[in-house]
Amino acid sequence: MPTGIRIRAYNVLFGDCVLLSLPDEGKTKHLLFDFGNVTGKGGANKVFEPIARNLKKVTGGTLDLLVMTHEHLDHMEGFLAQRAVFDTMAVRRVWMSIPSKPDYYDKHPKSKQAFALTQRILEFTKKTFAERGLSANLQWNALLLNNLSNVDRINYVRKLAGAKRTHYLYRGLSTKGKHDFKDVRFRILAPEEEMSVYYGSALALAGGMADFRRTLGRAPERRVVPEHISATDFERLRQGLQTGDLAAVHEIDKAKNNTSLVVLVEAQSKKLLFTGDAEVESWHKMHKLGLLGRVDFLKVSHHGSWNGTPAVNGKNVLDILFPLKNEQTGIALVSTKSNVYGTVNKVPDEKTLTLLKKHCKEVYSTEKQAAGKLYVDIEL
Amino acid sequence: MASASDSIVKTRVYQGDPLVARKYPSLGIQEIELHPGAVVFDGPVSPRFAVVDYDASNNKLFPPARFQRRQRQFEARPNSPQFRQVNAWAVAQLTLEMYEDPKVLGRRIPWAFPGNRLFILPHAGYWENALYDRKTRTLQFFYFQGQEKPIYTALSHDIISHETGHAILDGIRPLYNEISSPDTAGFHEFIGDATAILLAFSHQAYRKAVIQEARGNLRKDTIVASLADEFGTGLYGSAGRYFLRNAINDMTMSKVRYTWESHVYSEVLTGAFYEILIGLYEKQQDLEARKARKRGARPNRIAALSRAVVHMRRLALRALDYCPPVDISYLDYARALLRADELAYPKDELGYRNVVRRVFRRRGIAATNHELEPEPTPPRDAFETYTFADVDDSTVSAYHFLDRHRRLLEIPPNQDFHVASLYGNAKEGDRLHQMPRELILTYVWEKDILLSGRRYGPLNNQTFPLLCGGTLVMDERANLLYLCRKKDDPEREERLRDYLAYLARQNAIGHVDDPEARDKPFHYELRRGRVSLTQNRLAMHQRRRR
Repeated sequence: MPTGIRIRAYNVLFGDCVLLSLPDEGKTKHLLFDFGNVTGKGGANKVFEPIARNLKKVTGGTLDLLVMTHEHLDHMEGFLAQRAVFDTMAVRRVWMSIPSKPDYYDKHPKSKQAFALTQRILEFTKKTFAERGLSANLQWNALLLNNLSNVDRINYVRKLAGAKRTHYLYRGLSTKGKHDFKDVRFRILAPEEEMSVYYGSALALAGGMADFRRTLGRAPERRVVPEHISATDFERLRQGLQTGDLAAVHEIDKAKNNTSLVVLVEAQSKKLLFTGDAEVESWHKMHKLGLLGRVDFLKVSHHGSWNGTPAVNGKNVLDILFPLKNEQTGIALVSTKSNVYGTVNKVPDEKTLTLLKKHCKEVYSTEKQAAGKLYVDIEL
Repeated sequence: MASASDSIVKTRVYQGDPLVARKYPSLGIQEIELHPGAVVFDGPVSPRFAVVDYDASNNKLFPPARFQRRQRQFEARPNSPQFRQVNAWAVAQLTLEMYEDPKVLGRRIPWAFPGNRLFILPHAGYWENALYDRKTRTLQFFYFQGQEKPIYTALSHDIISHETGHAILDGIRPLYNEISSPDTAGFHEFIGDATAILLAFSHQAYRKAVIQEARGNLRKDTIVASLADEFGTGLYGSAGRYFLRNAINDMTMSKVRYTWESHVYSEVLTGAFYEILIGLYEKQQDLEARKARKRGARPNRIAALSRAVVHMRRLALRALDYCPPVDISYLDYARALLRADELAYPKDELGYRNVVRRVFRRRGIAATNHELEPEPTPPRDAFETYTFADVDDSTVSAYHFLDRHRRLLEIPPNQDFHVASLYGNAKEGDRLHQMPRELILTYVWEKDILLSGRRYGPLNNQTFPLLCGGTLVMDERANLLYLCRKKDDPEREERLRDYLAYLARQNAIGHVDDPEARDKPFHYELRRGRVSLTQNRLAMHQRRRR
């Protein structure tokens, strides 16, 4: 029996943009989760305009709730890029993850240290780009420029609904008074208020003593060999080297995925879970706190990468979200694009996709069902 | 070492730190002459150093500076990675030349690892740090965002010479890497600082700037006393007070008695060093004033400083060959310094050694002049008949010589030991005369002690070696010139136990592979079932996070 709930997953290439439309108080209301993509082969700003126009059209120019799950470009680039459209729309409420709160770092000194480090490295990268003497490799450039220089973009989203109607959420904080829905329940499952819990060893790494390959989880992409010393000498040297603060920033950046707002939406007797880019540490925390249970719909975390749907306590989170029964009823959505990220651990991860198919009635992927189209609709 | 003219390389480097050079343009980029040896090529690569401009965090390799064979110079535009490659290489090479000079050690210095090229990484990654690492055979210079602009530690004359100083000391006395007392922990830092100060002062432009800044009074806070200004300024917006400690200080052994923190501890010796330098300068200034009065001219303060620096260099650095092979104390160093100077300059016309004695007493390193006397050497006739060649031939010959005199040298009869090093030198004495060749012989053994009790923290129930041994210096006529021993005695063992318990109490020790212990100042690991405790060099010069 149709519930009137519709999920529209836009094809932003590598990124997220999911519009949830559902009945409330006898009319259809709209929630938008994220709007962005990465630069390079995973995205281009030209895809945003038709999506923004469609968003305005389908919502009648009113978004009842805009959720920006976390401060990564592939989840927020579209808002500022399409300000011409968003400036003409009514955004009633904005939800952001707690670290986006303007005074967050003043009140959380542990996180401030990491924030300061990333800012220093960003500043350095900008200046060395200008100098052209030193610049990071492509991976680092993408990391730094796509993920760390987001102040203007964040500020724009903060202003969309006005300061009083912009809320910074974390696990345990009540959503009462922070939305205008009557027939819909919201629960915030993550992140923790203190984001440094996700740093793991990153703060220790900020001393720079990370082993390169362990930290990045992969061998260098391209073997470089100097001509003026022997290959043996160089290889031995390379293997023994430490990496300095960039490795720490990589870890800190990973932790930022874990600051994703994870929102459980309950409407029309259905449970819908929107996860942003929550990674292993966040899933572990949610599991440990007993927050995870069966759901009807899952926005698969982190574009289908292995760490977005990990194992917790020996079993995959899908065993909890979509327990295997005689008849599978769950629906999953993967917003992704292949061959953009990962050489060793490819995104999306084939094993994860296979597992999703095993646990769900249907698995939607923006790069498959929305290929060559603006969006794919999922009716619950 | 003196080299043929075809091995000279001319290159342009920062003689001071870039920030200092802003205030004193004469300390900016200047041409210097180096004598790295005949085999020099792109990199720079020379017999003792190889620049590998590899940034591990980026997996990025910068193209090496090209060597122009005909002109014997490197192509390097200012502000290019190649300039930083050449700058780091040249300052490191200059530092090594300062040590190997006949006026100083008068011999080649080996590295502490098997191999002859120390790798220099001028862009080792983004980090507020610079370090010498024996394991990877590297000097690593990192870069970071300063308050105004990016800071490249590979451009800092003081940072490069400081780190090269660590590498050189490690080559001269590899076992100083094993921490066994606050003195051993502080000594490496002291040598780094002393190297940086001496190399800076070796430049005429630097001496001139210092004299101008200090108006002749070196006790004033001057540019050289706050080393690595750019590093400090980049971090704090004012001259660096953290990375290299201010050499003008009033630290004494009694003030650090209950701290044993290695940075603070090294300040005592760095302070003494600088005070001695000032003392020598003042002696030279008096001499200069007397000469000037006779001539009716103004005293030449720069010439006075120049002579004081030359003497300070041989005083402070020559002493290293006379130091014990293990577990150095500041008193050992003071004795070595005085004895090395006495042998090279028996006359001491200006009374330098009295200056030295006074400073070491004032700093609490020795209580009396008597304490500064070397330990008595057994008379020649106490030894069996031997010749220089009996010892000089090989480490095995040297071993047999020592073995025959175990009782005299107080080496336990049942204790195996090994000759840690054996080398000769060709030093210059006063007025450029060649000194008799010296033979320097060091020997070492270990005595296992069991650390039992909670006071040893992570080292509880571990076996720790008490390092023992000695340094023996003889001349070509086989006269024993100097003897310094680290004996197996209960007092040394007790001091070692107290120090290890102190470090455990301070939570300063962590296992080398423990990720949680990355920032601990001391790391331990087990080698052949015994604890090896070393300073965490990765954390040593790192900026302290606030």
